[in-house]
Amino acid sequence: MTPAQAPAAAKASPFTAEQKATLVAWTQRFPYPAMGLLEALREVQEWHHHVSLEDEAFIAGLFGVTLHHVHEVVTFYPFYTTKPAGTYRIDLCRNVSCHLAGAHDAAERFKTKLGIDEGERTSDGRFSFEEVECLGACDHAPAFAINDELIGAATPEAIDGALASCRAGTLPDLPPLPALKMAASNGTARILTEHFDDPDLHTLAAYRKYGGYQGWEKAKTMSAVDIMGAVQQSNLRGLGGAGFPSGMKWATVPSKKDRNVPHYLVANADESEPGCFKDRVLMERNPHALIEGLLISGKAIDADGIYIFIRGEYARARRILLAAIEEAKAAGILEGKEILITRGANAYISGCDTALLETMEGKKAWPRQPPPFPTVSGVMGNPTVVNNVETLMMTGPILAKGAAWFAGLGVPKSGGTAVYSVSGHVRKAGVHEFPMGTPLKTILDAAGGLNDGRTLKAVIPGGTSTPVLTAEQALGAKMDFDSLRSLGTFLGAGGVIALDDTTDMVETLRIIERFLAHESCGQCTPCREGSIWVARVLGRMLEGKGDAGDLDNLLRMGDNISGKVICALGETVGPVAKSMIGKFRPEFEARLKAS
Amino acid sequence: MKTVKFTINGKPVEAKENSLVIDAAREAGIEVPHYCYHPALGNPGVCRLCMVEVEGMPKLQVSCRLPAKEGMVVRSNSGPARTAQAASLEFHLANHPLDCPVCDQAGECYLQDYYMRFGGYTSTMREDKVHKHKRLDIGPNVMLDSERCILCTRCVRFLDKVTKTSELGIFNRGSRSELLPYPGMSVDNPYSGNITDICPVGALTDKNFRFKVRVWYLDRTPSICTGCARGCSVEVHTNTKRPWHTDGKRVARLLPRHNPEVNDYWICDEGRYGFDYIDAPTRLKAISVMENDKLRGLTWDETVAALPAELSALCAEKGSSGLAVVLSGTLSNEDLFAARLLFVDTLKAGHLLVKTGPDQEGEEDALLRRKEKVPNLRGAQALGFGGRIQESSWGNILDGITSGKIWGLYVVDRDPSAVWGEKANGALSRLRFSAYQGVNVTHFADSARWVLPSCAYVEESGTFANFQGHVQKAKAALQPLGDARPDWMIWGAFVRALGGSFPFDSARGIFTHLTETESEFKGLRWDGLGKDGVKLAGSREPQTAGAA
Repeated sequence: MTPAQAPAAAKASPFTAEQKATLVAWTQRFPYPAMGLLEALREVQEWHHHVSLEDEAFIAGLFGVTLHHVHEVVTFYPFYTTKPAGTYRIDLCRNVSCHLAGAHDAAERFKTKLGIDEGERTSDGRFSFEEVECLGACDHAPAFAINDELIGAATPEAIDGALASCRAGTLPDLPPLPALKMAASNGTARILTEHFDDPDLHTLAAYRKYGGYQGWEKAKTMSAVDIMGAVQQSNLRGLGGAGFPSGMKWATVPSKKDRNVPHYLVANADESEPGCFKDRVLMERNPHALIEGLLISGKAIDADGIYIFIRGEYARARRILLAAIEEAKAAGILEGKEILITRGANAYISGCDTALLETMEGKKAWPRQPPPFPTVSGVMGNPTVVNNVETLMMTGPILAKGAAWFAGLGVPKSGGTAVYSVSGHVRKAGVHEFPMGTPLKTILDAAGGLNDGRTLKAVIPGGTSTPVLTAEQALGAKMDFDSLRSLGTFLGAGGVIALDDTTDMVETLRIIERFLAHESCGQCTPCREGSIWVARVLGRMLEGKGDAGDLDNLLRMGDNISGKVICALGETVGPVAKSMIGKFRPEFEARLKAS
Repeated sequence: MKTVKFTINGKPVEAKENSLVIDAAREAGIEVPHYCYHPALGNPGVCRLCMVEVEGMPKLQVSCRLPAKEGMVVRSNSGPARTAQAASLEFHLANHPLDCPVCDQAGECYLQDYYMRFGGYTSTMREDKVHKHKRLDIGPNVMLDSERCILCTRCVRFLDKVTKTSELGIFNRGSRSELLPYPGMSVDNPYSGNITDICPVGALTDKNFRFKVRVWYLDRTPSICTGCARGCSVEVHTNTKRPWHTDGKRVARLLPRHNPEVNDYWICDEGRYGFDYIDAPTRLKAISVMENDKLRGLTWDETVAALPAELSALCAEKGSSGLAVVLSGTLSNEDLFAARLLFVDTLKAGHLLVKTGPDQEGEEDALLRRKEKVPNLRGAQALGFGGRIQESSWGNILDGITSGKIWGLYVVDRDPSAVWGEKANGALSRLRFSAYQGVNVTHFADSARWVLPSCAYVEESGTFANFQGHVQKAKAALQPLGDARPDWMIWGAFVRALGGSFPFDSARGIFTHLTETESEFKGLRWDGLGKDGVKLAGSREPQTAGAA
């Protein structure tokens, strides 16, 4: 039996010779051809503004995969469309921080100005408009992007200006890189953002001026075991959300003496948790810190391949990283090693480490079920360490200044600092770096505090997946993994969202649950069916049609999902609802009474 | 591999270390509900239904991915496990259309069955259901209702791993995830019907069976498929209670029966849908003899009195070397034994043919289908056909008839016209004696002097040895149609009529005799064949073909 061929395969090639060469190059860029599949499809989407069945057939043949494999990928990831998108594809974020900043009004303006509904394309084919779940740009809320290029806050002027600019044939100007002037640090240590006031920090010269690559120099004189030991002693924990001790993770990579296969290191730059944007800012402002971290970690795990998996929407960060890698290469820092950047296609779930591996392998991002863990069986079955960007960046300073110094900055079991993304109802949304254990209030103050006359209602401490804190809890909270755990929530990836007294908690929860339902990969049943169910019940409540059993039913459904699903996305559906309903129940009940 | 001991629901079980707990449970008679897991297709662990509690593990575990370890204490019936199973069912059913009254899967649907056994909750679903495609014609044999689909991925894995044809995928994601064929593709491969079996719900239904008869009216009999030399284990589903539902056709469908030695969980579409002949209008139901260009009906008693005597007299007159007997690999071992007794030992026919020719050969592949489209060539070989009993050929027989050396032709279940084409007519008219014994009318039957109706394999019990020498039992699922009789019974009566001994009144009796007298059958027992069957003595080492 041979696989059936769709009729499309017989048609003439949809690509020029030059385009074909580009696509062929993607089959050769990575150790396994399929690792270039998503990137090749990105090219196709950009050329054709969609991926047709003819395109799919060509890609399937080129990469030696089945047609349904390619179609699964194309229909899974929102970046690809099967119907033509506009030449200018406008994405407006509708998640919590952007919603609080007026995303709804911005959407209305886009739709009115373009004369189309959400998800449609203008009849001239020039524009399409979509409300998307997260752009990783809460510091620009309500953020919008055109063709994956973050444009900034969708103020009426910005919207009109951007549309005019596109009509004239060019993308609008990009916003200035953030946080050139940091708030005073109150004397507390900053590691990664200390020199953000230098506009040239992204250059090798500036980075070196502030001691950059000294950690790597030190690492070169150390054994892999000693590097791992230093990182373990530093109490560095994963800053992408899980908080797993980093040195311990590295130590689970099997020795090549036992199993002689390639080892891979992947920087997880797929920051997609609503409320989090610190990795984007760190990469845009301090790219060499990531390169240094990758070199050090790569040595620790004896990596044969080093990758940065970056979300597609971080176009600018990617450009800056590419330039920095070139600069480092030219300066001989990479010593012949390669650091390759590979992109996802705009799916939140790709940020989950095992789903990230699937995405890297050119598949739809259905998380795997460890064991085996990625450190034993990762990219194409080879041991792979997936570390968050900020985590990797910390390793340079740890080696340069010593594990004890780093550990001493933080709290027991959690060393150093964390870079917080602060957004929502604060005056100065942006990144703020503080040592582990810093009071949440200090961080909110650093972000300028609330607007005049407003009082704090609640804080989401670590990104929308983390249970909410009441104002009272928040003002007494210390920001580190263990302190927040004792409050029933998580540090997550440090995405602090301040919610003032104007916040509608029912709507906030609905936005979070709708996000989870939208981003659920659909692999396991409780998450696939449960997340949409929860979101729909909340939507009905917002329409004033809630009834008495709804709240208990939501809590029950949350419990029925928790502990039964494959990955962390599903696990958050219940606790987030539980925290919101538990802490703000009267507000939810008021919705029921109103019906 | 090391064996470990542990308990499931308090029951002590033994299993290979690291084997799956869900399998160990099933072997111990404890069913843990599940959808995505299928022993032949792997354990993606996506349905999250087979939750069990394990002492010492903080979270519930999916038992389809849980390796068996020494001393484990597993519970599939504890409060938390039951709650989790019911919760998972509730999610499976949340967006399911609940259209059981018009769904052909009803009665054999694991959503229904599990709801009754493990669900039993009160629905709280008030939202509009997610809508998807309905009634999609996705191939010659399969209909898809993707609203009913629970996305267990069994069919996708079957088409990826077993047929490697990859027609189906799960496209989109989240609650928009949908099982669909790749645009423009049709699930059109030689094994497509299997996806309707492995679909645990009513998403994939069999176009050839759907809406014919509710499954609870069916009787089920273990049998084998006689469509080729593989001899796949099947279950014959018969409808005799409500004949009007299936237009009087008694066989409603064939389903594969798991047999690790022969067909695993599968059968091909050729075999699955190849049963129409059993209840076809072409079935022979009565005996007839052509006398003076007139057809006369006979009883079996009259036939037993007349036919053997006629044959025996002709043999005496013209020499038995002029008698040609064309048998078939469709015959059971018991039939072939009786044939040997009659035609070889008693009548000493000059030409015997069992092996397949162009009339009984077709496509084959690496999965199941064999070129020889009959089930018992290896059995015939074990009984000496083609060995100590020399086989003739279609060509020799034609030459013999044309040259006048062959005066008599006795054909069982085959049609010389299918091999000889035009030449058949002239040749057959030269015959002094011709008999056709079989299940359906053939071109040859139209012109043969004697026509004897025999049972279809579902109407008699018998044993068959597949090309690997694997002997399986097919049990009678139906009464013989009309006057049809088992072939062995017909020939046994003829042997007796000629003064020989044939002390058997059942296939079982004949088989037992074979096990005592035939070297290849030594050591086998009728009851010992069980549901999977047993290999012939000469086939304990795998052989490539039974028709050698």
